[in-house]
Amino acid sequence: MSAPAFEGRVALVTGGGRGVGAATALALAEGGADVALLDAPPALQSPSYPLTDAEQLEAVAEQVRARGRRAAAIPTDVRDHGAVKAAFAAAAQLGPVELLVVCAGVRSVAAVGEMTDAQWDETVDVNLHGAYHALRVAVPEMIAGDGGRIVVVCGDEGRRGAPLLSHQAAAAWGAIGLAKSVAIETADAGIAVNVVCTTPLDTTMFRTPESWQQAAGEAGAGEEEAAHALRVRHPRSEAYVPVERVVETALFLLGRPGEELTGSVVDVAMGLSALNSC
Amino acid sequence: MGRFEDKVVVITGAAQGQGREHAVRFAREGADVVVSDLCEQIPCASPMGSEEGLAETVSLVEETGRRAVSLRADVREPAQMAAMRDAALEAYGRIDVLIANAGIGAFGAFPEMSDETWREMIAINLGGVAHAVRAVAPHMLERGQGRIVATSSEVGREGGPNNANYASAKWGVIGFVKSVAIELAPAGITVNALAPMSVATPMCHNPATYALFRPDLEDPSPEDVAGAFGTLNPMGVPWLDSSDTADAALFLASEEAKYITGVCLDVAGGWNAFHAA
Amino acid sequence: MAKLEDRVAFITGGARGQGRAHALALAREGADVAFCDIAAPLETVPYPLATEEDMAETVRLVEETGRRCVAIRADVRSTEQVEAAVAETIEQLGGIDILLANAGVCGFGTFWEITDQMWDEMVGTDLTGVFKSMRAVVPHMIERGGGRIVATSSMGGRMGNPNLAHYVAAKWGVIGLVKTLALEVADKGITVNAVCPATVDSEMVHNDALYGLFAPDLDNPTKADVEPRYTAMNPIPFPWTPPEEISAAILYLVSEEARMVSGTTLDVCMGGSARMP
Repeated sequence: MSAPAFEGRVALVTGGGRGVGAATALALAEGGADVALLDAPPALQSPSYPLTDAEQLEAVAEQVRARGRRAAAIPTDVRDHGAVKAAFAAAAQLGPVELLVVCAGVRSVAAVGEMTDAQWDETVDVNLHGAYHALRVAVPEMIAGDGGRIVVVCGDEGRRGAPLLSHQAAAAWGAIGLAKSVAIETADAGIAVNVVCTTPLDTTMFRTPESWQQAAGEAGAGEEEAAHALRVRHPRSEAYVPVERVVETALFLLGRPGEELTGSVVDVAMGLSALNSC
Repeated sequence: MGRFEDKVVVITGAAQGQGREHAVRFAREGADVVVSDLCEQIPCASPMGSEEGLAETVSLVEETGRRAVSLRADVREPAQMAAMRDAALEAYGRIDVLIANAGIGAFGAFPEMSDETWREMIAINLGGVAHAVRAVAPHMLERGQGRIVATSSEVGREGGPNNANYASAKWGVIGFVKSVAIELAPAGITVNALAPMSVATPMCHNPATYALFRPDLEDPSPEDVAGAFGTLNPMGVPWLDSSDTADAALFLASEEAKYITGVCLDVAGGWNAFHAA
Repeated sequence: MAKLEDRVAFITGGARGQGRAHALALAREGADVAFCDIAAPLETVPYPLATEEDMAETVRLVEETGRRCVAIRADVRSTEQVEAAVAETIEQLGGIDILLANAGVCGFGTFWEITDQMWDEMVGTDLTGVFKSMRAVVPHMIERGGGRIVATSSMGGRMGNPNLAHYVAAKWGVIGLVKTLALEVADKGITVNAVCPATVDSEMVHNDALYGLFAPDLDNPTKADVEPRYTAMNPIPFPWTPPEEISAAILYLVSEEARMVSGTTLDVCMGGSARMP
């Protein structure tokens, strides 16, 4: 697939410090966009993996610049609406944001009866409130400007129930409800809002003993057992969705489609979506 | 003999509306109840329950000959949900059914929505369901039985303009319910969601909601808005009676529904026929 | 007072299995029952279908409850036979309040090995049969000012299912049919819903052909061999649902309590729906 032309447009990517966010940012830069990158939040209690720091975020910005585009690395806690507003204000140095990619998310694993408040709160705050904060600032700007494209990336627990991930599912289903509602409100405003739902990616967020055990469905399971269980689970017998597939899907939704394509959820799910009821 | 003879049912948001109806209907079927409510008005929300309302629920339950324990509890606070569970266990020694019903209405066009309107909605309508379930689930797991019904909405099945916050919370409830259903299924506990259309409660019948449906009128009356509400569903019913959702909750909590878990049951005059399966 | 006192139900595929369980459940709630059944084998269905003896047994069991029962041999694929069965029911029992479009068969094969005859017999019975039954009854219900229709879909109508392309196509089709008819008759006092069972403990499941599908590694798999494999598919750890559990869901959908429930799919599936939207 050839990269769509984003020449001269400005993108803002939350969770842009690594993983899908960083890969999407670089692909947008290759397509000609200037990119604002939000990531590097303060310490959180619930993730069992390291979060992105300001240095890593700046390194992604450098890679954008190495592609001949402008970049702004803006450390931001997306849980804080004021901070997100300030980040958009800082991004304005690049021009009006017309492309928004919401990737910021955290992951933890817990049975509902044993879940800590921090696990619930941080997941809902980052994955759902974080999306809300970004849309909240972006939508009025896009309405006032020349419209825009918004893509929200979330996990496939937004399409079904997921044991030990009730907080992740609640936030992801919520984000889909948010995206669909905003899609209706903005359908006549030159804005398209869509969701990309993916089965697990082999990224930092997932490379933890708790995620492997959750995927394998057994205590003590490791990387191998998780990969095996995921291969069995997916009709296409692969464990992980390649990051580039998610990026291609996001670029498609950010690129050519008009507002005819809005309010949709696109599953990049190794065939698992064949088991969805819709 | 009632269908819920000597069962113990815990209901959040029971000072008025659907929660009160659930309490009275379960009691008529023989259940003892624990009813909780915030009993306080949140500024951005539709009219909420009061202490007097909660007391009225208790007396309506007691008129049926069953017992009611009431307490003020905030579903946003996990500790207060734990206190609600403890109150139930202290009074009755067990909990058979949890109806996670508490919810507010608060709306606005998304670009202008205040942070408070967003946050309170998610905290109560989604977080509150999770906190109530989290408080009660360990007890049900220990007993190896239980029924949980959470209130979602038809707006949890599609997008709702002016309801981005409400849709987010109510979609979230369904994802949450489905996840917990899988986790608790091996223990014999069912977890389901109810998705009603508008219900004739204070959340529906208030000037702000009326204005949303009839922006063209100065001070619309129920008769003025009934037609607009009715266009949302093919039966053309403007709003359900609380008894309609209680009927569905009773079914999902009953012995007859023991193999039904992880579903979202639409009580919506056919509105859902427009949706994907 | 029974819930369905003096109502009349017409059930397709009532000679045994789920259809018989529905007939008994409705009769116990006071309904008179007419049912039809093909009571003959179909060439591409790999297990024996019902017999005239089965039909007589359903009649005997219904009559034991003190209600009337009319048995009619009819193939739901035939417009003439279905319309004749409906006419006979109305003549003998005075009208039809409830239609359960239940008749269905199941066969299987890899998609590219499904023959025209397999496809036609499957889709003809499980989808076109539902259409023809509904079409035969709906004008009568409109004339009477109301009615309840429940069609039997399946969890195979909610997801993809390897080796069942024709069955899955038919069962998804049933849901689309139900939702559309629900919209068309919403203002006529008629509700139209689908039940979606997972595996049900009936002859459709307990046969060598299907056992072989679930245990391809064994030569002559037995019920005991396949039972744990079926159980492993369900969050509620049971291999198959008793037919009476599907009847319980149908009793709710045809009851007065469910008058606002239309166009919906009710999954009775041991928690499987928790894994899907």
